[in-house]
Amino acid sequence: MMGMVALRSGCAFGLVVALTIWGAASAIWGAASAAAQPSPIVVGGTLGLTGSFAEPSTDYKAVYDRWLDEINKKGGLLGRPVKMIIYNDESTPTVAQSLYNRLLDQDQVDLVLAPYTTFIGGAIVPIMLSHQKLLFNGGFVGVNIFKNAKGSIIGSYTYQEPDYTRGLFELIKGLPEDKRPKRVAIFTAQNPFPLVVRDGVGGVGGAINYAKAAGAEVVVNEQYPPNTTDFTGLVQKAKAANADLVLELGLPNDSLQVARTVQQQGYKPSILCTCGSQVTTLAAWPKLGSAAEGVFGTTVSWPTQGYQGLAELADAFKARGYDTLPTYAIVGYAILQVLEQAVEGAKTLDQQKLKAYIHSNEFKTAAGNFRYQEDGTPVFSQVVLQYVNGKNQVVWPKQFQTAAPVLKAP
Amino acid sequence: MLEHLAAIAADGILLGLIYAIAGLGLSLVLGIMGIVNVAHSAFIMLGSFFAFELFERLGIDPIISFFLALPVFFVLGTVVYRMLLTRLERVAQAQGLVAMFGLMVLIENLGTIVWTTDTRVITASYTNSSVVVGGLFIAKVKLIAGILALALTAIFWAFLRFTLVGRAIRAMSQNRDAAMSAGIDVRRLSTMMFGLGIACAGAAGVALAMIFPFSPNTQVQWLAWAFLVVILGGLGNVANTLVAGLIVGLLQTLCAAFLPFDYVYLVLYVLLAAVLVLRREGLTLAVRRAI
Repeated sequence: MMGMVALRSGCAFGLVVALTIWGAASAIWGAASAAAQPSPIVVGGTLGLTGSFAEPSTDYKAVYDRWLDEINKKGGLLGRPVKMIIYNDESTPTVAQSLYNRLLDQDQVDLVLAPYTTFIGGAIVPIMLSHQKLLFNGGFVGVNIFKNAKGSIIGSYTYQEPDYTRGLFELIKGLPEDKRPKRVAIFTAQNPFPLVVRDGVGGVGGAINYAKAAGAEVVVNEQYPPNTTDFTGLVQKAKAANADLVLELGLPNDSLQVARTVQQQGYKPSILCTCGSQVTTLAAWPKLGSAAEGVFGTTVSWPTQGYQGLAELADAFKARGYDTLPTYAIVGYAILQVLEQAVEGAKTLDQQKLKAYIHSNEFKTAAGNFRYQEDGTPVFSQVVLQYVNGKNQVVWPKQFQTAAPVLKAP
Repeated sequence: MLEHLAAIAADGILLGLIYAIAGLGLSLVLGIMGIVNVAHSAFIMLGSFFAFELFERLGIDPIISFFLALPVFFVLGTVVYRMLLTRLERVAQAQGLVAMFGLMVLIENLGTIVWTTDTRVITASYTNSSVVVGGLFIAKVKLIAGILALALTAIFWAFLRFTLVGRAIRAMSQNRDAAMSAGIDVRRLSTMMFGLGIACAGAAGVALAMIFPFSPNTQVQWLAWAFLVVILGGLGNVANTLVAGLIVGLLQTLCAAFLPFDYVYLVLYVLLAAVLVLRREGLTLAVRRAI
């Protein structure tokens, strides 16, 4: 009996020793593996993957995933793999705020991406500034937000709200005198963003100032609430005032309905520009049929410009079933190109060193070749598109023209 | 000037007809059954996507979809009534409202999952063209949607006024207990009435999708319009709902023509507030038996 007990005790002891040796070996092997595999660089941000901004946010997410795949195939950043954490902010500023706190305090991300749209982005900027982090912002415009952040927000939209109509008026200036529109109707959504597109900031920029500078008279200047359903009254006012240039400064739904109403009312202004959003690059635009024809819009760049990665991005979106490349996709990809080139160029994740590098170097992106201004926005560039025969054509700047602008005869 | 006024009137009437059917189903369900169906706009959204899918996948014109939506959404409404509302008959009014709100959120979220929040438009052969009468441009699509709305309203009015079932429904709305004691199958009639309300919402969704861009999360704006029409027109009365829709449509186009455009909605909401103050007791009576 005693012998059996001793035998059992011996076996148990042997098992314990064996397990201890196996555990220690595993720990050493694991540590060695970890040492061989550098820790990932973590890029974090939020997107409104549900709620009001789910449409553009989904495009951003597709672009982010594509870039992440590309960068890790290339060996990551600074020789380290890249991990991305994108939370769903439910298109709600307060949710975004708590998620950015989580990204910075708990997840301790190395690099931070902005959410989509000024409504959400404006709410998280103070959190970024208090953590002294750079915000890589392909998600929103906001001339005052950039100015207040003193260069700590790095943007990829190549124009801010006051300049949304600048390219169009440059195009108009280049037209023969007798072809230039003289009477302007402006429809503006009651939303802080399009109101700055119309009015500019501190007397600089804005559709009204650009119209005056182009020698045109503003004959209709109306703003409409965000829940407006029918635009017939507005369009009839512009038609009655013989406006030959109509600027629709609103969000995509409004712009689609205005374009349709203009057509239904038999109204033919020389130029109708949906300059408040890049709606002519969205999938819904071609579905408007003949009402979409001849309408002008603006965007940051176009695949025919040959910027870095732009044609490939357009192909990727074609494969996703898009007829045309959304602006969101371009700026979303461009900011990641800036991030990549900045980290590789500065060879650090130190935010101040990165900021200094970004402000003193050029970046080749899908949205253009960027040089940054003091406030963190890229130097102005824009293309004006016109939707002709079922396709967007670049009609300005002249060096990138794919077609001459077609003005409607009244 | 006369031409301008005629254009305003024509547009106001057509818009008003469309607003009327947006509110009709809500008015009937609230007025006759006492159910505050805040999920009404979610069924409008489903109606819009019903038309969209038939148009995109099968090339079916929205005019046909409008009529197809009636039986489809009637069945859907009866299923919802049997599965959800019969369980809420004896709960407090607030709980019923919360349940309907939950249904709205559920349908909208399912809509977002299925169709995403991309903006959609339906462009049929007549969408971008107009009928020109004496210099007036009347959008064909609004004219067609207006005629469809008028036809639907007339059918509902005739159904409730002249058929035996319609009379029974009206009897039920006036005194449910008396109707029961007279041998009317109140449960069956309620199911039918709710089905008709949802059929109306589905058809309204088709009509709205013919004219306006839409997405799963924007159709909720029609709930405000529907309530505006219902509150102005009173509850459960088809003819009054039609008149209320026309008043809202005409007021909107008149204000748009003669006031700065941003005042239009202010005027409409002031009207809503005034009606709420002046006709408060009418509403209270109708919702007293709310689920």
